[in-house]
Amino acid sequence: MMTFEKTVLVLEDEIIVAMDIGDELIDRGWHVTDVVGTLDAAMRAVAAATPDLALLDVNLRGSQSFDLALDLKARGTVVVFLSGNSVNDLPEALRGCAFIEKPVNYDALHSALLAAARPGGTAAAG
Amino acid sequence: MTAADGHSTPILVCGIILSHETPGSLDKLLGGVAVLDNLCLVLIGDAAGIGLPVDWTVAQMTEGFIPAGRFVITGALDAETVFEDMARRFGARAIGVRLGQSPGNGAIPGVVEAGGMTLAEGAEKDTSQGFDMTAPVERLAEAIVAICRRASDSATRLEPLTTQETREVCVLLRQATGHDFKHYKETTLSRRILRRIHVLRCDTFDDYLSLLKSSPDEARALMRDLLIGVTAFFRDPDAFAALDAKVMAPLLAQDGPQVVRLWLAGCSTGPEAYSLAMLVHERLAAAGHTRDVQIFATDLDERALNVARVGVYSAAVVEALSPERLARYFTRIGGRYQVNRELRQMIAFSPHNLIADPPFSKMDLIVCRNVMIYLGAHLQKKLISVFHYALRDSGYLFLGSSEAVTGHGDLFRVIDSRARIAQRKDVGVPDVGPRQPVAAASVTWQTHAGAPSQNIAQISQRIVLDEFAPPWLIVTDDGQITFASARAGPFLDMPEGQFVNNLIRVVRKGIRTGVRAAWSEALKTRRKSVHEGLTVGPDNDRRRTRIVVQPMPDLGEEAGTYMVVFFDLGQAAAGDAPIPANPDSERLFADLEAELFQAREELEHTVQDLEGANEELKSSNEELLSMNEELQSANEELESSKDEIERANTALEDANTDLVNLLSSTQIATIFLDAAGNLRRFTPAASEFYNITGSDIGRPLRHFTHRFADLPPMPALDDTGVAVETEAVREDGRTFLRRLTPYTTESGAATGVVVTLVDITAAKQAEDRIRQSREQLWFVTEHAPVMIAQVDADLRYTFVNSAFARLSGRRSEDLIGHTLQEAMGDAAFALAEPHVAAVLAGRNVSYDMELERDGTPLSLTVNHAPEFDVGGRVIGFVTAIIDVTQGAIAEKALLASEARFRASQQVSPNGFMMFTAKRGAGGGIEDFVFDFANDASLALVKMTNDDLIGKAMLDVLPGNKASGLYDQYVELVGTGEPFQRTLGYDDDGISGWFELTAVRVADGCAALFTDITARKEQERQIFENALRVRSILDSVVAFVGALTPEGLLTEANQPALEVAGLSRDDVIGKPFWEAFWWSYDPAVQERLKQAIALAQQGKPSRYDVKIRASGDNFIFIDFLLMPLLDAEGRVVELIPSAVDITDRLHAEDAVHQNAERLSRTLDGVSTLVGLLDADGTVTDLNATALAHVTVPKASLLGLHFSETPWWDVSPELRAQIRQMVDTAATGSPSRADMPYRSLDGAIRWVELNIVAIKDEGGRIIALVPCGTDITERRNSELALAESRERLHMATRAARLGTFDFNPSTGAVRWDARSIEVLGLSGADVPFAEFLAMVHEDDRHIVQDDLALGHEPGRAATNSTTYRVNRSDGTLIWVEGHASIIVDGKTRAVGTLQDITERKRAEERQTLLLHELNHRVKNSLATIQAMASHTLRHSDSPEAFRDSFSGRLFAIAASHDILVGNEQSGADLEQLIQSQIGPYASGDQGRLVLNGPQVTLGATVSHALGLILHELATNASKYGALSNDEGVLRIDWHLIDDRGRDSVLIDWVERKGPPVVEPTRRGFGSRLIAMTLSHSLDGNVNMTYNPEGFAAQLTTRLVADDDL
Repeated sequence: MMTFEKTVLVLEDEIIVAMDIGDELIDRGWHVTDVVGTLDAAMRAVAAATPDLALLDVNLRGSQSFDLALDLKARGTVVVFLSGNSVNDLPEALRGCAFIEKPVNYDALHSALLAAARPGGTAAAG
Repeated sequence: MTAADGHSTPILVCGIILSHETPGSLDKLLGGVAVLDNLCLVLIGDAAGIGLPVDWTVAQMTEGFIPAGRFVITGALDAETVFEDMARRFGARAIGVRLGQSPGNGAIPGVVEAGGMTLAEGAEKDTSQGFDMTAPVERLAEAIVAICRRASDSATRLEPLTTQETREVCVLLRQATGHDFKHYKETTLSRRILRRIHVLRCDTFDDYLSLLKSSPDEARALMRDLLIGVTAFFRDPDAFAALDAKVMAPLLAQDGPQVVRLWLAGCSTGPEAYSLAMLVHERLAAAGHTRDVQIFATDLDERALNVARVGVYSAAVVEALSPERLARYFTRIGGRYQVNRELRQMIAFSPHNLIADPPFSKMDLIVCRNVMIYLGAHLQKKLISVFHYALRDSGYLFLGSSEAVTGHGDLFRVIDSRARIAQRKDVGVPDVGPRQPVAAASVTWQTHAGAPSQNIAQISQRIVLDEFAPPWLIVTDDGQITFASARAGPFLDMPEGQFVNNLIRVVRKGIRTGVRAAWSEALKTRRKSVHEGLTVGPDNDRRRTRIVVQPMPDLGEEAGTYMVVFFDLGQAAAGDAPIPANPDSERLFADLEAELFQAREELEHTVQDLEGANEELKSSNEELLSMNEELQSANEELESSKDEIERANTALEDANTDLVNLLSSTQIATIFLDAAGNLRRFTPAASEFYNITGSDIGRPLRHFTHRFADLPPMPALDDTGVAVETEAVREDGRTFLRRLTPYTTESGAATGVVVTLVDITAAKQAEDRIRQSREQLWFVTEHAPVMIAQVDADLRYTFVNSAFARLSGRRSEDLIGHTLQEAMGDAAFALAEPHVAAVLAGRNVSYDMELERDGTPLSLTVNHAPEFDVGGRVIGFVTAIIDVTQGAIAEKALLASEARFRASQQVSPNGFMMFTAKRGAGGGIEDFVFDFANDASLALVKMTNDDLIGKAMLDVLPGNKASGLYDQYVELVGTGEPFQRTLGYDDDGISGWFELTAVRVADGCAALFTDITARKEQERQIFENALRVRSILDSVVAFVGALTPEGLLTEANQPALEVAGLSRDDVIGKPFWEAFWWSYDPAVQERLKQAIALAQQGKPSRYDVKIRASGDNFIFIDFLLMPLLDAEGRVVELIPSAVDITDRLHAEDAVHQNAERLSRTLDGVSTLVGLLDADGTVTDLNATALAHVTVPKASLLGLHFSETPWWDVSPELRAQIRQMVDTAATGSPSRADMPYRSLDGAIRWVELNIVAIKDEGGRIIALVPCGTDITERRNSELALAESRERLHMATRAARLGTFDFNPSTGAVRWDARSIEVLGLSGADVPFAEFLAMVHEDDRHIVQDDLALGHEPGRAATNSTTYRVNRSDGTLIWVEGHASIIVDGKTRAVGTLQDITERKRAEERQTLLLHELNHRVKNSLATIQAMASHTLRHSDSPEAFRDSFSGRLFAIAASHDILVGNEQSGADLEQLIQSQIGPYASGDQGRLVLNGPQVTLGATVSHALGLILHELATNASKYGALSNDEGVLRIDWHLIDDRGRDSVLIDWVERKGPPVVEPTRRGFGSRLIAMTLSHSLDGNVNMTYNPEGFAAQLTTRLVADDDL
């Protein structure tokens, strides 16, 4: 199994889903640094170490992850959204980010992360 | 009226000749052209009888004046004058219209000449009268409209034709008519062709062309148009004056034998020709001598020539003439003028084509005016030549004002340029035909020489020619020099005097002979000829010269052009010098030459003259030839007519011979006299009456003695041609019938008398004998006591004697001519018939018959004797009847009756007397002796029987003598004629009357006296009454009279006479029906006769009739004819009477018409109208009313209005109607909407008005119910009300507010709901204020939609949604609908609705859906993850299935609880039960739960549910729930974990299998730990005690997203 250098942060409030994604990404060779369920946890994790990639759920217990995403982008992190909502709900500034709908097609997720991981890549996926 | 009145200039002027024959035509025409507002109509004729619209301007026309204006009526002015004036003033814009068969058939004059059109009412396309169009009047009107329309846009529509187009027409014309107009002026052609296109209303030229091709008629019509000449008497008077002075005067100045020939070419309808003739006539009259003057007037147009020959012109045409000329040369015929015969005979009019036909010749004057202007230049030129030819030397040519002979100075000399008079020049050979141009050769050469593109060769040639070539001349074969080269001068010498251009004469003398010789030779041989050795020049420099004459064959053999070249051969040698000396011979030579030259010149002149004469002879010859032909044909005609005459002559001679033989053989004396009474012819027998012999022919008959003893004078014959017969007796006693008959020629004129004398002596004598025998016979038969009758074969009486007549009881004239059957009656005839048949069979018949007459039986013996004609046929029979009745029987009966009579008379109230004559010695009556007198008669004369009987009348009643009664008695006895007499008497002062009837009895009289005093009195009274009645009747009755029973008028009252302007004598005593009153109509007379016939039967008649009054007026009378009966019922008199009912009839008629009109009007209205009595009874109903009932009108009349079928709805309705009628009857109108029963039974509604009609006194005379059906209105009102109600309900239900907005003012009207919805301060909050309330993001929507940006005409319904900030601070959503209505002003009407709630609901729903979507996806993600996890940790598919289903159920169970609690939260205990229950079931007490009631948030519930599931699964697999004894105890406490409400759950397992801490952490424990830490902010502490597994869970009650 090949592995990837890029670190990945997973923010997903549904624990089972988060666990599964984390397991799956790890299984597929990604370097998952953190799997977190709340914004606070995510921010703490980012503060500790800025990830190369961030897989963010949009809605998190009534909050949205857009501010975090902007912050991450500012830090150079490539953000991939994961949500049950539609891509249209994204603010204008984040429209360029890749967007993976739930339920998750792991192959698609993998491809999106691969594309995003390529230097300068912010491929859209769907 | 003048043009300054402001009337628009008419496009067209339409003159209409009226006719009374078709009075409707004008109306139709005017109706048809009513659409034209720029048409001037001029009516010509007596318009009074036509009945014109009132708005016509009536103007009496004055001569030659048409007022401008719309409509004008002329008086009875000459139509032609009007039309000519019209045409002059309006030209092609004039239209002439003839309606009906107006006077003046034929095309309307003047109009066509001016280019206008002529229309006539008549059959379609009748070209016979020369109109442009004939059609029914409707089509005429259409045509006028079309023409007018065309005229209006003619500027654009009609362009002149192109040359090509006119050419095409010309070609067609030549084919159709043989006349070639090709060279006519194009503009003229174009204009006149266009006129035809106009006339025919062709749309395009091509249309016209095809018409022209197909119709020869059109070709002729066009030709006529093209040939139209404008002509007038003395047109251009100045020019004519000049002609008179400068041409006529010299031409006619002298007397002379030579005929003066004048030719007028193009004379048209002749005025110019007559003008010319007048000039001639005047000149000759002034000069006082006669000249033979021939005037030829020719034209192409035969029609025009016909007009010219007749010479009748309208007043307008001749108005240019001076009154003197008019009086001298014209005769007035009605409104027109005819040229006198004298003038007409001066002119020969004949058809002639100036261009194609050979010209006339030897004319002294040719007048050809305004012909050439129509011709092209080519033809003009040709014409001038023709004229030159046709004129004598110095003849004159007179042209039109715009024509001239300019350019023909060689042929004509201008005499008067203004008047265009020229004189023929005497030029040698006239140039009639085309001729080769003389200088053709040199011109050709020159053209080459001057050509710009010369090459060097040409230039060099020219230089050579100019510089080095010898000089030369080009000469025509007649010696004319046409070109001379440079340096030819030395060889030429122009002679003095008139310029000549002749080779021989202009070459220098020295070389002249040489030139002549060379010239002659070259001419003769047509080859080059050379002559040398000639010298020329002054003596000191004589040059030798060679002359070469060279024909120029390059130009063609016939060119006739020669080159003469002079070669200078250098200085003449001395020997060449002419012999210097003999001056005599020199002079001789010169003289000879001069002589020769003169001779030549003379010869040349002679030749020219000869040629001229030749030409003239040629044309004379042509003329002679044609004349010869004419003469030839004339001769042939004469020959044939001579044969005819000879044949006629032979026949005549034969007839004459026959006649003579006839006359001499007849022995009838016949004498023919001429008109003067002279003997013309007589038969030999005539000499027996007159002493005449054959030599006396020609002498008056009255000069001869005759042999008549008694000759009536010769009566004058009247014109009737009827013979006059008289008898004359000759000396020898023979009688002759002298018959005078007019001697009539075949034409019927009486030119004499024929007297015939026929011997009628024998006839006379026979006649006398017959008369005598007839008289004798009559005498015998009349006096014989035998009844005699003569009957013809038809059984008609031809003679009866009076005895026979008495027997049959009829007058003889009632028998003669009648049949036996008629006279005898059918019964008697039946008896007689066998005898009649026998006698008609030729046998004598005799029989006896008995018959009864007046009660007396008669015994008769009847004899019938047949009569035979000469052929033995029975032609009738004679009947003789003898009365054989026994006289004694009669006598006895008489006596008996006398006794009875006397007895009866004795008791009679009437007086009765008998007396016998007392005769003297001479037999004369001396007196009467009374025999008998009854009592009444005695009382009458106041005597006793003794006083009277046996006494003499004159003794006892001497008064009878004085009264004449005695003499009457005497007469009675003498004649037997009874008499009757009315006598007055005076008895004791009482006057009385009696009537005496006297009859002869034997030799005496019986007198019967009847007292008629009472009757007389009655009669007097009747008379007086009648007088009174008459005077009364006179004043009231139009007619009263009296008739005899036979119908003779005996009396008529004064008014009856006056009304008819009659005198009594006119009618009294005459049959009533023949009187003036009735005689106007046989039918009326017949009716009257019927009435009289009825009256004769005692039946009165009465009828209305029209009688004639004076002045042919009529009076309507109510005529009554009453029979007047006497006591016995006999009709004694008929009394006609009449009342004038003219006024009544008129009044009745008017009333009837009014009623009719009213009824029709009412029938026409769609309203129900009726007429009621004042009490409401129906008296009339209109059609609309009746259309609603099935019963006939009659059955409704008389009903009360309320009882009519319309109100057959309910008794209440009838009562209401009755109430309305009653109300109306009080005078106040009543009105109500009422239902009524319509025809189909349906109930309809009517707006019923009943009004009262009052008379002048205010009394109500009628009620008029008037009903308008308002069912539809009512239905729509109801529908409207319903829809309003529905709208209201709808808006209320929809909680709609409405408003009405005026964008232009910004004003708005809000309804209550709008105010409520928007929270407005009032109903008229302006738009701006409202707009301010609208959410600023939505204001544009409202503005765009409603107001400021609206588009005019937009009326669509719009729907908008916008937000409004209410004044109370709430924001509401409003949905508005608005319609922009544009009805005069623009309005927006709209509704608005508070849709805030709906909006919110919608928003919620949207959110919900969004959320649902999110959650479902999340759930799916969760399930996916769970499946994924479970799979990852499962050893087998069965394990996976169990684990996965368990976890899925756990989630579902949590969910169930949440849903059961309506999502607000889940009860913890319930959650535990649901998750663990499935594993702990069956063993009560093994599961112990203990804790407070705790409600958990949804997220928490979900997560906790899963955790509990995992724990329960473990317990069931490995822990307390895996065996049968294990106990699971769960306790929970609410705690405060770091400031948040949390719960601590203690999970303790006991008595389960021994616990072994797992070697690796399963998914379950990891899930539990992760869940709590990850999302619930909680934690778990799991301990694997040996006695049992235990776990302590801490979790918040509510997660962040559950808040």
